[in-house]
Amino acid sequence: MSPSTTTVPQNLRLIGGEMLVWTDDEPAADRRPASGPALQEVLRDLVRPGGRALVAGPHEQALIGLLADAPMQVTCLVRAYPDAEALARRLPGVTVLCGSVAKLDPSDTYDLVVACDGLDRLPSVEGAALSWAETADLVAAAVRPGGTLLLAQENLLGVHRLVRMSPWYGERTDADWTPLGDYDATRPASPGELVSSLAGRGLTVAEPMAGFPTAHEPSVLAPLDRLADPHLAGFVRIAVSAAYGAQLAGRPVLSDPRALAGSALRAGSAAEFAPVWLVAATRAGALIPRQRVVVADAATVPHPVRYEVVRAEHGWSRHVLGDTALRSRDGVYRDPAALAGPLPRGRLLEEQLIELCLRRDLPELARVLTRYAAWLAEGAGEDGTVGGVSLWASPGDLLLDGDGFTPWDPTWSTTVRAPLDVALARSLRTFAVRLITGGYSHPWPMLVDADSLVVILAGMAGHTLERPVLAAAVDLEARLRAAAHGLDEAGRERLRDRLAAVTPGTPPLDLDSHRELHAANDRLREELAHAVSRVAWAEELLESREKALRHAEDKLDILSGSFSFRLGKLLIYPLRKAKGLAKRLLRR
Amino acid sequence: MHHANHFYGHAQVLARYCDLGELDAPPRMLGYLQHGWNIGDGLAPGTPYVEGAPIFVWSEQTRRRAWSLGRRNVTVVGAPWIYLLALEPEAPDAPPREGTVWYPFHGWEGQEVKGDHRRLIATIKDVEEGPVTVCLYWAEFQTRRIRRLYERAGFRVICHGYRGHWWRQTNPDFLLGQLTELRKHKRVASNRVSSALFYGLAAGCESAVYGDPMVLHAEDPTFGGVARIRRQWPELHGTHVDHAVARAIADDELGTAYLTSPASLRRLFGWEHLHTPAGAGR
Repeated sequence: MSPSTTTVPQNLRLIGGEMLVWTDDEPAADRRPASGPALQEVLRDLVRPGGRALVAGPHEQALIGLLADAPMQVTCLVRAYPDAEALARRLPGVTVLCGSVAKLDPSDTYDLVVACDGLDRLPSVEGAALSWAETADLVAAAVRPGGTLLLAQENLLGVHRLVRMSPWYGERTDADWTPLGDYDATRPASPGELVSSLAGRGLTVAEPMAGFPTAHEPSVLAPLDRLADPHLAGFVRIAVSAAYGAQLAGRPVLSDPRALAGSALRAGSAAEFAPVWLVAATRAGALIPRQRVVVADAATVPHPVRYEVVRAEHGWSRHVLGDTALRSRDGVYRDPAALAGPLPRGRLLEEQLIELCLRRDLPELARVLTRYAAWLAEGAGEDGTVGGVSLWASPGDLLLDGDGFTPWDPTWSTTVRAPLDVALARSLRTFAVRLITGGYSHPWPMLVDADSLVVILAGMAGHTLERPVLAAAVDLEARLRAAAHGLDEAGRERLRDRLAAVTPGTPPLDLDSHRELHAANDRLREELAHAVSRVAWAEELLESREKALRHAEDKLDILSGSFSFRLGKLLIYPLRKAKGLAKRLLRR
Repeated sequence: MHHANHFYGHAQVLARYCDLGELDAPPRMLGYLQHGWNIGDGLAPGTPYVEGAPIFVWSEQTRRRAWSLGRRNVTVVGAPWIYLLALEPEAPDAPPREGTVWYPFHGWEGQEVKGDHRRLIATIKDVEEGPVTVCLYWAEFQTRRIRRLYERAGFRVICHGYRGHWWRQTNPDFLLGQLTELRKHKRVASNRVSSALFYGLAAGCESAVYGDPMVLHAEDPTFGGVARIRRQWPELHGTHVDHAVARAIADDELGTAYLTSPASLRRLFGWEHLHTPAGAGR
């Protein structure tokens, strides 16, 4: 597959070191270009209409298109020929360079250099292997005075790496011809090191950002210094958890990244465990981009929204970015406009409930659940049905502030309505499923299924749920989730069956998490051991009761064979006969 | 189901609370129910335990202790007593309470109490001002010699009945009788902290623990016995104790705050199939 002069697009130049049989865009092999609306939002602040931009490394077309539309004069550098060709054909106004970063013309400089994929995929298998520092020298040199470098650096200690099935030093994919990782001593291992190594190259970083949930598609980007604010940090924690759920769904992971990321953020260790650090490094005279948190749903979310969180007069405020049109599907809708306004305060209800379960504080758990059930009832219409946000929001969506509840993401809602007890059962069931499949220690370990746990939780909230309500709750959850995730009829049925069958041995339904799977296996073994010893005990008891019965029967035999028994029977015989005769006569 | 679940008619009280209607026999329970106040894991020492079976204990403290001793399926439901109190609220026009109900400490049939009943009687007479009712354990009550000792001292002597054994001779109204007795009295007292003392406190009596604790022959020392109880709950000991403090301890030990709804209990005990929802053709 060698490119000839007739097949190479006009706007594509081979500069040397190009990889002809390779692609950096192969999702099946876990190779993706840097992408996502969050990166687009950050980039939007840095465009210089009329200026020159270099996009170094694999980036999704939307990012490149954003620069070209500014308009900027855009040059892309990619090492894989198929990637370069595809880019050149789709973006004819862009110059595409194919080859190794080492072959970049040092006299060519740019107003904006974008390296959101990091530096690892800039050198090629051809030519000399470059260290991080050598690559950084080349990239930094391309930034002209007054110019800006937007650089993403993957953190090898990031949560996404910690939950990966293989460590970076053991990777065996085609892309890992030299998996040097942090044995490359020049590679910055913290945001601080990244900032100082760029400073050594004449570039100044105002404030590094932490990106979650993955390095190639961060959907939550937060300036590290701002995370010292507990209100903002608390919110980012929730957004990060949701982002992990959305982006890693169904992918094999070692353990639930949500728990890990939550602990990291709670400990104020966003810098240490963020999958990626993003810096806008400027060379004297350049604009410093404004500092804000950007949240943008992953491309896989059917109704994505994006917004920023900025400092407001009193606390923090959200602004919707991009499209604000309401989107709906099968009775579930998302209204981006609902986001605007102050950032809500409070703690996630689900977290609060989990803590109370871990503490075994049943009285307080009952109080919170009763309060929640009352809130749900307040939202019920005259016909006793619940709809809208009240119906949609389960404990993982609600913030508990004092005694009030607010959805942390108010964009989701529904036109579906359900009776109050079904709505309560469905909401508590999502929590029960999380508690069981997440392997959390909780006060009712012996219960065999999610339904039983729902009955207990509802009982604490002062509601008695009957069996048909539980079945209706599963249907409702399957319906809402199928609509939100864009599942078809078969997908919805599968989801319904999986939800209905949650028992202590069930691993998480949303993540293929191996630690939780192991824990689920342990729970199954305990259940089996209990079943075996219960059978043994029942056998033993049966034997002793049989003995007692035999003893009683023997006694009965002895008594019925005795002289006094026979005499008694003989005396009673005529009386019995007479009684029978009297009965017959009376019946006539 | 372990036969100890039926002791004192516990299963019957809970079945009544769970609205199971008229039953020929108390229902089988999926697990072990703590049957007396306990400073161990909630199970009586030596209870044959089916691996992994649920244990229903009275208090959160007992649950923690049980967990530390290797028990996992432990759930706090509170004592059957708190369910009885929920079923039998005190009448607003109840006659005024009077005197003291005194529980001389006993072991169970296999143990023999050593100690001086006479000395105990003298102490009770010194302390108690009003009339005294002495409640003897059934084995002592049946021992004429012991019963006579208390009667001669001028005490009213009663017995709540036999707790039952191997599902037989269980007195289903054991606890109800005890509650009725307790509610007649202003004070409940004993020579040891025991279930009865907490029952009395929960039923509205003031409490006292004094006199010879009558240590058992061959008392199981695993959990520290009398000395440990004294160290852990010194506030309960004395002829006159701070009632608010004692009441709070009783509430903790009986799990008053852990009263569970009937529907939840039916799930926990595996009694759902025995329940006919109201209006469904009962």
